[in-house]
Amino acid sequence: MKKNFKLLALCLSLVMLLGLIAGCGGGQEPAKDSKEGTKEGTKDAKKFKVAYVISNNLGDKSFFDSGYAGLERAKAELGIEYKVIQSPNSADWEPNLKAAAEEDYDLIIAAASQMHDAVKNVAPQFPDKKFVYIDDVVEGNNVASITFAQNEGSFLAGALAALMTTHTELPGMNKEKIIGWVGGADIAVLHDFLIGYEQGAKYVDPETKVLSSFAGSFSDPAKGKELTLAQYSQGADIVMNVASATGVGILEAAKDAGKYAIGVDSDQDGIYPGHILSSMLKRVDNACFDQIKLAMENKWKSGHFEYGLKNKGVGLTEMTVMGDKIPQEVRNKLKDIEAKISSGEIVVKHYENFGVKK
Amino acid sequence: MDILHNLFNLGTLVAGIRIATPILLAGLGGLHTMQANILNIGMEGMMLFGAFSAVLVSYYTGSIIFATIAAILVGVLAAVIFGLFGVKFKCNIIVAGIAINLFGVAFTIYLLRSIFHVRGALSHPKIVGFPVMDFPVLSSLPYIGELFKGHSIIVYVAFLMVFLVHLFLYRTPKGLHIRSVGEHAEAAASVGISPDRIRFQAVMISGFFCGLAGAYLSLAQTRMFVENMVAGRGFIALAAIYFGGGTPVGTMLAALLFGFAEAVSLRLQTLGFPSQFVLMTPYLMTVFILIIISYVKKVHSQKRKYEIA
Repeated sequence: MKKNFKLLALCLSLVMLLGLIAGCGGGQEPAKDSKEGTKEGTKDAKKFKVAYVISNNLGDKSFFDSGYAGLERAKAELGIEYKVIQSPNSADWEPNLKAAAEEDYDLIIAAASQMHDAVKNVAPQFPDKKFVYIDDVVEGNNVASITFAQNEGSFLAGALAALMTTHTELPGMNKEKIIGWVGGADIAVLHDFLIGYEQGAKYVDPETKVLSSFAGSFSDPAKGKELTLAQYSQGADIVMNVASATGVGILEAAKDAGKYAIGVDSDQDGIYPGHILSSMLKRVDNACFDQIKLAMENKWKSGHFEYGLKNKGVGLTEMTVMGDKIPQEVRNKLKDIEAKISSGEIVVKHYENFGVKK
Repeated sequence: MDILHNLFNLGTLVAGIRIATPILLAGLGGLHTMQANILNIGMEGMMLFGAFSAVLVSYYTGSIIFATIAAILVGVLAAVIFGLFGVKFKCNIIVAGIAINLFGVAFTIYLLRSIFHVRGALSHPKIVGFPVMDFPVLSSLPYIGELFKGHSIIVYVAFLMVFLVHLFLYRTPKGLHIRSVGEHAEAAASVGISPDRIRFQAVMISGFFCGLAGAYLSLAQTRMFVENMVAGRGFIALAAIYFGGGTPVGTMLAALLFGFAEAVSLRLQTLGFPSQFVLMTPYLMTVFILIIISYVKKVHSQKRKYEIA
């Protein structure tokens, strides 16, 4: 028995290790060699060339695909040429980035935040190349670091939830001014979402109560669902999802309970039509397009740039799936708030100075 | 008072039952291996295989019966692999268990990408879940009737299984064999029972229940498959078995305790308690109760020593 306990302790510590590995995501998947994306047929020396080096594979229907859409748009509208270099294997990131820098690309876009060390090591070796680094900050004379003001997008989501929570004409809405928020792991960037969401809700109605919980994991949909159901049972009728794969459980809870949710990162409105009010988008596509355009016009600058509501880096969906269930007055109010944030009339707080370093 | 009412109401108990069910199912399987004196840490992987095959078959056939059968068969298959290495070829049982767990995570991710071409999560209207029903008679009882309402059918099956497993272990020759092999393998062998054969069968039974537990996660508690979605429940089940002293009823009580603790902790967070602390409570409780159990055992054995002396 005693021996078994020892073994049990050993196993449990191994699980934690295992969870850590799994939590870091994609460690187990087979490494894919850098793969060519769609490339313009003929080599044209005059064409502006962009390399899109990413720390995972395309097909996530979210972050990386959004950046890819930006490249496609730049190809159609600006006539650029691009190549996608993708690998989920962290050992490949630096070599991939270096390989791209050694070739004749005019602009190298590195995404996402996990590429931090790769960008930090490679960029100084190629001082005359332009690097764009997405989702975190690396300092350097040839690096433009792009982050997204998720707090501003969440402000709008919180405002939307606070505006809708008393619309009892919709089935499942109660009259209580309580809304919910469920996150994945308890990390700084998620608190940045939460702080914006709370501020947005209180801006609309200071009496609004925001319930918030973390699942502690990005891959436990059953827990996400139970957390959401718990918030519904505590009077919430709209819950915002900021939890990646755990979040699929949040959205399902909205459907099963006949309540409402708000999606995140990509357009999730259509997953359970009628139960997802809107989704807060991170417009990686707009940021990529914008950076390419600046570089082509020789206006490109290094430094840290935050894409918020003003430069369309974040925002809500058009809510076409919900249609006229979202009253026009609510839509107008949101437009009004959006304008006020863009103009600086409303200042959205960051989580403990998370975001732009002044 | 308001806070207490918020935490401890019937809804919390109902949620606790939902959360306890996968732990109970896996635990009922794992207690067979524990009774046969095998430390089965491969339950996590077996559940994951079960969860994936349930979703796969449900998606393609639309039949919950086929999906359940597939989950059970694949769970048993994973157990056979575990048993082959851990029991038949006598490699380290811990290593065999870890191998099944790692293999389960990697292989289901691989299949998810190659069959469905999605990353992370698969949820689709074509995935049919377990039907929801009210338990006859009990659900019409006043007040506590709510506890027996609106659960997925597999929840009731899980709790009925507790009695079946109890009968199997303590009232059938096979159950006796499993227990005797766990108690003293040489003695069992001396009366003509093949210990390895019995151990292998115990491992297969654990695969059966883990497959079912996986199907519950992916087709009853949710209707989706997410990479690594078992998220430690196989290990909680292992703790529940130890906790319950390896008996079916004890395991059930332990699983319910875990379920309720988690259900309460999910509600605590919204009351402003820091999430890191709250997420810790079910595990803290496990450690705490294990300490109490071993302390009681120690006192007990010391008492016996004095009596002998």
